[in-house]
Amino acid sequence: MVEHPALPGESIAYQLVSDLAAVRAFVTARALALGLSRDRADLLTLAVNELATNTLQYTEEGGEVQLWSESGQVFCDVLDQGPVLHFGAAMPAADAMRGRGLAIVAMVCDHVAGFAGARGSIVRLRLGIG
Amino acid sequence: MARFEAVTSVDGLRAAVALSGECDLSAREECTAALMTAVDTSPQVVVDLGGLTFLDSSGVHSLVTAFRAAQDRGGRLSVVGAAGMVAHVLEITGVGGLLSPDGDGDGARDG
Repeated sequence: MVEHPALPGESIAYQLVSDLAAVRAFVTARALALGLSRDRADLLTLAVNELATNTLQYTEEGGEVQLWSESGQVFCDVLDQGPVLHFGAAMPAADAMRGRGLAIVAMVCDHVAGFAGARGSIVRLRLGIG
Repeated sequence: MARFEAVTSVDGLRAAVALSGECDLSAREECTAALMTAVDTSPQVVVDLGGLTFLDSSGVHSLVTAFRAAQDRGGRLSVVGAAGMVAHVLEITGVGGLLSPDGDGDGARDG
């Protein structure tokens, strides 16, 4: 996979836990503008929030979120400087202490993949429109 | 955006904790502290999620932490009032059943 070229208004950067609310508001607004239903936009927002939370907990630097649409689908890349993330682990037991964040991401998106990009590690999320 | 808030009221052996606003990583310490204080002082803790507009794995972590602490002390923590995306997060993580007032958390049924 290749990085999507960044266009003005398509992306937002985050560095602090206090940035999470702005990231969520950005993703919801962009997803709605790109044609996702309110329910699906909320799911994408939850997924991006989990990935940004992972960045802030496990890496030294912040990250960047970018959304665009293509062929009837909304794509969202979350870029950070941590290791490439892998998905597919099952949801932990209900009383487990850890491991829910990435399992939630995999569960609420139509497709998710982690890969190495030129500027860092990328998680690409995809949700169909309509 | 709505700032996170936790308001606790104690009535006898029962504590009610009302959470409101957005419960994410920025609120996790405050959320965990409020829930742990309730668990430390009351054997029955009911957490009202009706005022929450957002809940993620950070908030779920706080709830499960307090649930396990209540169990360790021979008490019980349950949640009520979850709606919309908050209820959806509890459902897909399986935590909703664990924390349900008549759930199988510790085998106790008080209904």
